Amino acid sequence: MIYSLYIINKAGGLVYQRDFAEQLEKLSSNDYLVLAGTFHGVHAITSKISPVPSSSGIEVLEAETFKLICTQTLTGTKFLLVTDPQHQNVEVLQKKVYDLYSNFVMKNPFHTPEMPIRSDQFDAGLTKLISEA
Amino acid sequence: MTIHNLYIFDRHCECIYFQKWSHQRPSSMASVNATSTTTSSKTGGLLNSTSRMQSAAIPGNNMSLEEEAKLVYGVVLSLRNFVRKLSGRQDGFISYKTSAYRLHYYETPTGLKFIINSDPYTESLRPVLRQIYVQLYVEFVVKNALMRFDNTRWTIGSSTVHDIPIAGDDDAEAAERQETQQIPAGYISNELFRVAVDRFIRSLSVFE
Repeated sequence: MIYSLYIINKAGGLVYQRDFAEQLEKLSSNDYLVLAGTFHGVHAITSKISPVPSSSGIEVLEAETFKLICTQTLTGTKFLLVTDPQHQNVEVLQKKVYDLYSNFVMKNPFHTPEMPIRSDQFDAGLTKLISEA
Repeated sequence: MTIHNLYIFDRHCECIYFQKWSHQRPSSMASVNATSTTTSSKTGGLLNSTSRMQSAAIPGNNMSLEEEAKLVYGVVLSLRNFVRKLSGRQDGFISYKTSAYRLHYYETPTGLKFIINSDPYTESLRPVLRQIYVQLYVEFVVKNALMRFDNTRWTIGSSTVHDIPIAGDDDAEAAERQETQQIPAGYISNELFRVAVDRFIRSLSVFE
């Protein structure tokens, strides 16, 4: 089950946030911005404190009530998917989310890069994708 | 599967324990450990521990242990608060994984934080951390009558070690021991605890 999706730009700003289920706490939009910034910083540090050389940043965060999967694109945008702790095959879903992002956000001539995403088609595509998953 | 290192932080965000396990040369590593435990009876294991601390640096990383410990603490505390905020529960954060390692986290009700780094494919080591707390920390640290709890850095242990005269003591060595009086991060002279943790971790099936 997918709980929510966050998209963080390369500077650590939250550009998209959407909940698909009620399991997580509802926070104010300011809190979500703070959390995104925190995660961005932690992601950078986790590759520095690795006990073995050349580690990536945080990829999966496990908590008792949820699991957070982070994929970073080559341009530095981070897609965070929050799922239930037992969820499998998130990679497939991540790829589909990225497809939607490329099609309806990046190809949108009115979209300003690194700015919050406002696209009805992206929203609709996500709703369809998550309901099928 | 491997276990890389173990940190223990007190609730004042002080790194009170650090131990690293090297997997490159297991045979020579074992012999180093064997000599350190035999010589520790003579020198109190103090100088041995310091040399072990210096060799603890990550290859290709020139951060001091103190700086590294601060970063680890910062990451863990941020993630703990992150999880608390999202899930609304007190102790939700279990572990995180990168492409090269996995960090496991356990916090006691008193605010002690146990952190272990393993390879990314190890299953949850939270029971192991709990066992270190219950069976080793409580036994060898909390029940140690010489422990001073206003300062959890095991100062009492190091001062008794310093009182032991060492044969062939020259000025350089004395100066060196004066320096070690300033206890660096992760520095614990409670040798019994260190040995017990080492033995326990090495006995685990995930340790290879």
